[in-house]
Amino acid sequence: MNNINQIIDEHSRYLVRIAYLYVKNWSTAEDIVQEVFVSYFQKSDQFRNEASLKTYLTKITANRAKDYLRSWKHKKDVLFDTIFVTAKGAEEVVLEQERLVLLEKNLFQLPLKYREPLLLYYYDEQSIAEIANYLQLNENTVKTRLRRAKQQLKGFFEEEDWEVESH
Amino acid sequence: MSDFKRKLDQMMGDTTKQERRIKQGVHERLRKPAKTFSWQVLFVTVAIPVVALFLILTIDPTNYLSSDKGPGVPYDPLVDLAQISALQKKKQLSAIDYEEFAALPHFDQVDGLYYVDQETFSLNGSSDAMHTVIERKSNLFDEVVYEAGDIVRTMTNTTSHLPTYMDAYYEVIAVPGDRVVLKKGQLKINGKPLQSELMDHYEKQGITIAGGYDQLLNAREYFLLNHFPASKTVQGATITPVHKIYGQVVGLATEERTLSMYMDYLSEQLTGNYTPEQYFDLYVYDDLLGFGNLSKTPAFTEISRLGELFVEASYRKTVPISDNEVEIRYQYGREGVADRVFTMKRDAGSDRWVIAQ
Repeated sequence: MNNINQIIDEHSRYLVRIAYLYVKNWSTAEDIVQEVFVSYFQKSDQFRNEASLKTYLTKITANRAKDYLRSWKHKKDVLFDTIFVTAKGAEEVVLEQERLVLLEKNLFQLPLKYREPLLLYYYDEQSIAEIANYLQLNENTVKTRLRRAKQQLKGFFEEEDWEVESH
Repeated sequence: MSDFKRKLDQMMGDTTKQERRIKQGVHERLRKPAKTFSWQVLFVTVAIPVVALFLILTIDPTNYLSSDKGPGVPYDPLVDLAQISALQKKKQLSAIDYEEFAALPHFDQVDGLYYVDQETFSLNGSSDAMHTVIERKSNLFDEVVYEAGDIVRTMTNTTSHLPTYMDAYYEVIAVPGDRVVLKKGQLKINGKPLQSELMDHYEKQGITIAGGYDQLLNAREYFLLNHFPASKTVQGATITPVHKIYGQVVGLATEERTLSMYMDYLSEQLTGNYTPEQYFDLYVYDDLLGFGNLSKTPAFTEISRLGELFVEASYRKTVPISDNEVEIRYQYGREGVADRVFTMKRDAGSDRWVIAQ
């Protein structure tokens, strides 16, 4: 039990954030990560230590998040979001928060094919080669998608973040 | 860490609650007992080849030449969902006629499985501030507790079919065991077109019933329709699980004459000497239906089925531990359904009962 707690404590924060960056819904992100852990603890003998546990769990989380985005339930949730969610008034938020709200809005407006390389590169800190391998794309395609994603979000990047470089 | 990653982290904020819920959920899921041997599975496994052989020997292949057979085009709820949700957003889905409730009995006291709806209204000829009284049903998982024609309140947003809304009053149209067929707005219950006052009202007011079902309602499903639909609207005919129905509208309460902790709560005069169970209900009520006037209950933040705890009040017992401590035990008495226990302690400062972590 201590081992289970230790693994959850170590990885849940990161994984729920990764899941959220895919699905844009905290409750769904929680469900996904819960499922990932349960599945891992039930079949942890299948984990072959070829990658670090963090890398393994991150990959499973990303796969499950993408499965969810393809599901009928997601399409229904999107419809509800479109109808029910109203943006907070500008006067309600201080300037920094307003920028973060804007970042979130712009980020989730990006199609997944651009958002995914962006979050894998900048949030999961994978190299271009690793992303290309995971997404089954060539490295130039990944670079192009990253560049386009950043162009859409250019106000949110510092100067030093602008150069796409291989880690 | 890059500046952009830092911004993403700031954007997502504190995720401690999510992490706590994940941990609790994982532990709950891992605690569930492993599946046991089922003689039904064995029986079905043995029966399959026998049935298959029987079908092969008796099927007439010419029956399958008809072009009328086949699954047809299924109903797509997304088509109507947007329209219904848009009407709800603009508050144009319902036209509630409170005068219809004037004939309901007046409650001098509301307690136990009864509670008052938070919405206030007045009736012609009276200056009293009225609320409907809702009855939570006992044994809701073991018996058919609602009848066709009952007016009920629901929790919002069922997870399948079409949505129901907390601020609408729904009428029970069909109950467990009924076969519901709804096709192109035509509703049949157990093979017959439904004839009722509500159906007449729908027809006269040009109201469309959305949904497409040919379904036998299972032991925990009811079929609901908006009891007060606005004219010329689209209404979702919704198959709703019993634990998503808060209860039945059974009477009226007035802020002036009804004794109830809910009335005290709604009028911000929580000065009574309430029992631990009453306090427990009040905390859930405040979280679900009320105005968030009470201090937040940390134990509730980890519960995703808070509404069910409110609806399932008849399944709980209060067990005294000491003068200042009691347990609220939800006991369902079914294999595989975990009991849930809350501890309530008397707060020495305010003398109120609070739910302990």
